Amino acid sequence: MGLSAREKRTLDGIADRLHGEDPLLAESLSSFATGVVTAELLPPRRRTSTLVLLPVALLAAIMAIMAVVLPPISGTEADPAPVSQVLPRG
Amino acid sequence: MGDSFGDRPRGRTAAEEGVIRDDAAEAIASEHGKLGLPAATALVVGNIVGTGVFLLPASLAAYGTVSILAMGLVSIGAIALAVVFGRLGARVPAGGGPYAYAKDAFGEFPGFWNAWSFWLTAWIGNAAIAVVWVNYVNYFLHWDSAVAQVILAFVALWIPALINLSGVRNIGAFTLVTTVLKFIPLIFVAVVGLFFVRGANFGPFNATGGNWIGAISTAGALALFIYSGVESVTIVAEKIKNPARNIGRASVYGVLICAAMYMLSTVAIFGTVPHDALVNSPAPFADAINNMFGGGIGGGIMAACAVVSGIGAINGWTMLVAEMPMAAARDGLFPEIFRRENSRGAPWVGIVLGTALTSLVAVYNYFGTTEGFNKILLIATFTTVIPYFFSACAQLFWLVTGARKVHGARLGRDLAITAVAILFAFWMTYGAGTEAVFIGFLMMLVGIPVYIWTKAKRGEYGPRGRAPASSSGRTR
Repeated sequence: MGLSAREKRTLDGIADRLHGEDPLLAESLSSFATGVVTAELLPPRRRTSTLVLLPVALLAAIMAIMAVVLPPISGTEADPAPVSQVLPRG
Repeated sequence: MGDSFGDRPRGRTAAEEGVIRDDAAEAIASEHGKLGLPAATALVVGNIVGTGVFLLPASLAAYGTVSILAMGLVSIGAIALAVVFGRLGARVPAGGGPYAYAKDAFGEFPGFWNAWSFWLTAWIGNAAIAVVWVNYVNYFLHWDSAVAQVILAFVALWIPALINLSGVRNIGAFTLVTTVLKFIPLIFVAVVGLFFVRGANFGPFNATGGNWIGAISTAGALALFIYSGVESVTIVAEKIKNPARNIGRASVYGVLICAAMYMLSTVAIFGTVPHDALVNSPAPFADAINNMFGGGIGGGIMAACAVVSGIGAINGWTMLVAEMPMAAARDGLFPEIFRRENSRGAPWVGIVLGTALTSLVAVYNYFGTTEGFNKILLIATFTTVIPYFFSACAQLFWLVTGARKVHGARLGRDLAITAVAILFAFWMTYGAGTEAVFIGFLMMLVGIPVYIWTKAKRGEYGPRGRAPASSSGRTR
């Protein structure tokens, strides 16, 4: 389930309160959660086509090439990457 | 029969209408205290243009006029990043910007790491601006002792902090005024300087002696960080009027204004100051003015401009220093204390703590070693890039995982822009240099115990939320 930690805590809080106020009702409700889980897989809203994923693969390849090619063409022996301005802002 | 409630819709009571009117009034009042498009654009421009711009033409001149081409490439990357931030801001108009995008796309830990990274870069970077600001103030005052310079640095840091504590309207007004004031001399040099350009001043196309591709790469790496601050309005999204519309516009307008200023001023200075003199110039803008009109008035004008520019930039960044951790703290991903606001709605803990940390770094510059200070600044260099890279990747994630709203040609266009932004951020990481990446990564690792601490404070005991059995025998 896609519940966040905060949402889970909130539901836990509600369950605790219900358990304190009406234990019988809490037991009754919790019985719904017993038994075999028969969750049904829902089909994705939209299948991602290869045409869309191709640029992602291409991007990864370009980044790999940049990582290998940039240091030799613009670095120095002492520092494989050029040191940018000391001031990290414009 | 006429309605006794006048033009009030049928069935609505006076009490209900009162509530609705109150809600509308609150909404109007709430919007009134927010930044409109001009102030938001000024925030972007004001944060991008700090004090580094005043030395940039001299630094670039060492590579020859090929550096103008490199700056053009960097500008294209920055514009792509601004467009991506605009798209992200429209999709998730939540405070924290890059933090919110990374969290939404990749989960809590990447979100936290982005907040941590940005928080580091924001307050450490302010120390760099403050120290350079003191140098420009000393053009007039000549307070050369270490104690006097520390006092000046505190002035540069704590006046913006006080403005930030007084609320968003004052921040907006100060940002707008300082941005306009800093831009007048810069645009003046950029535009009027073009009429004084002499071809002989430009120097060689490639002054490095190596191949021109290498020269572009190296000069580009030097200029990669001149657009730091492009993300500014995304971080304060909750304080922007109509964020879905204005975040994108302010980001793009801000970068375009800066790009025009950077490009034109570089061309103008390259053409008005002889190449050999420019390479060694400590004040290229001042030299350009002096060469245009004669005399020595340029130094004073540009020093005053740098003073205004520096304090304006610190004001804007101080806002971000506090806003980013506040956004993360609201989600329980940063220490709770950062959520605290004063009566004017300013996140005072973030402002005071951030400014105090910046003050310590500034003090270290004057009583420690310059080398040590520069190493601290390297942390800010690398940590600047992390939020850019994650944000651009978050946009890519949304575009390819089916959460997108665009198809066909628009999808292709958005993918292309996002790819340019990612490659630009990747290039920035490379341009930060090996030492910056090394030190910056170590500081990123420091964030992990902080993350564990905040998770533990939230009462989470593991990835599946398991906890010891409660008194009732149930597990939580």
